[in-house]
Amino acid sequence: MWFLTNIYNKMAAKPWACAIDIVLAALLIYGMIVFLKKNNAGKLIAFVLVFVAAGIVLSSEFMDLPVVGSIMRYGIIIVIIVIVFVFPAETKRGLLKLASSRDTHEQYTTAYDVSDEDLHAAINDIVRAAQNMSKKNVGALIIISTQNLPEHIIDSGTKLDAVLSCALLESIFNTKAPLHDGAVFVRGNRIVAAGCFLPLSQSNAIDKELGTRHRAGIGVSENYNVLTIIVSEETGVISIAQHGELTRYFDSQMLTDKLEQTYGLQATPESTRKHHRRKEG
Amino acid sequence: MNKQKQENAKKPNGFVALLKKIFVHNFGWKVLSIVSAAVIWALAAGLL
Repeated sequence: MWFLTNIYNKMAAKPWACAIDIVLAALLIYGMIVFLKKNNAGKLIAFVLVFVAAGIVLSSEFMDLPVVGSIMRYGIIIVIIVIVFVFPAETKRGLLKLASSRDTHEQYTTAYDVSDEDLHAAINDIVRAAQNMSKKNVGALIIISTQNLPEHIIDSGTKLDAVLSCALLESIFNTKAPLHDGAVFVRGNRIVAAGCFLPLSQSNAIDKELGTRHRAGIGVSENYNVLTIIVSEETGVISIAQHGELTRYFDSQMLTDKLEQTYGLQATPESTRKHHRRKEG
Repeated sequence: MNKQKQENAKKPNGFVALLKKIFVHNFGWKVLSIVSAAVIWALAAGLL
């Protein structure tokens, strides 16, 4: 009862101050969520919020554990220090963006607003492009993500923000085109960027026959929650890398089903069974 | 080309886009931020 009385007294004494306090705290929390989501560290936000809440409870008169309470209460400072050390490039870029306000409104959102029809059309275009490039032995590396890639990867390429089409994908990976030597980042039905440089996988388990394109595809899927489509320049084989694992020999039906699963659309069980039969370790 | 034209036609104007950005984009995260801030504030106001 005293808990509610305390809240009521504070709200009654300075209602505007309370409202401003809550709004500012919400803005601070939202800023942290966006930053952490953009760098695929969204899970950290739960730890921060639990730490702060537990810190308040433990350091209160109710629990009377001042040392543990203070440590947990100031956990947010520890998290900020960790963020600065773990994401130095992103922190620097974020501060630079704050300094140049024109860039801040161009931040990518964590959700996209596309109808299922548009997504099906995009999947169809990706599959057709992959098949065409496979037949002509043209190498390709396409990253599909429902979330954001870190900005340093997008900045390493050329930002396009164009509606995805089969012809555009094939044009990008044309060996005479300047953007062919890099990855295309697809989000929803849009090509966000092309010619992006990716981190290479350092795994020893990768077949020595596979080249740098496959290592880059696996590398990015090890670090981020993405699906990577790789078309081999030598053999024309279509492979998919996800969670650091490479699965080879995809045909158009299997690729369609995999993409539908990734986009949260319905996939047929028949082709999923086929996919498991052909999966390589 | 036609697809690009359709896409451009579908684009909302500036004010609608701004409203959409404020109220629609990342709606879940915005709600979570407000709820978390309110809970933390209530704990601090009630216990400290």
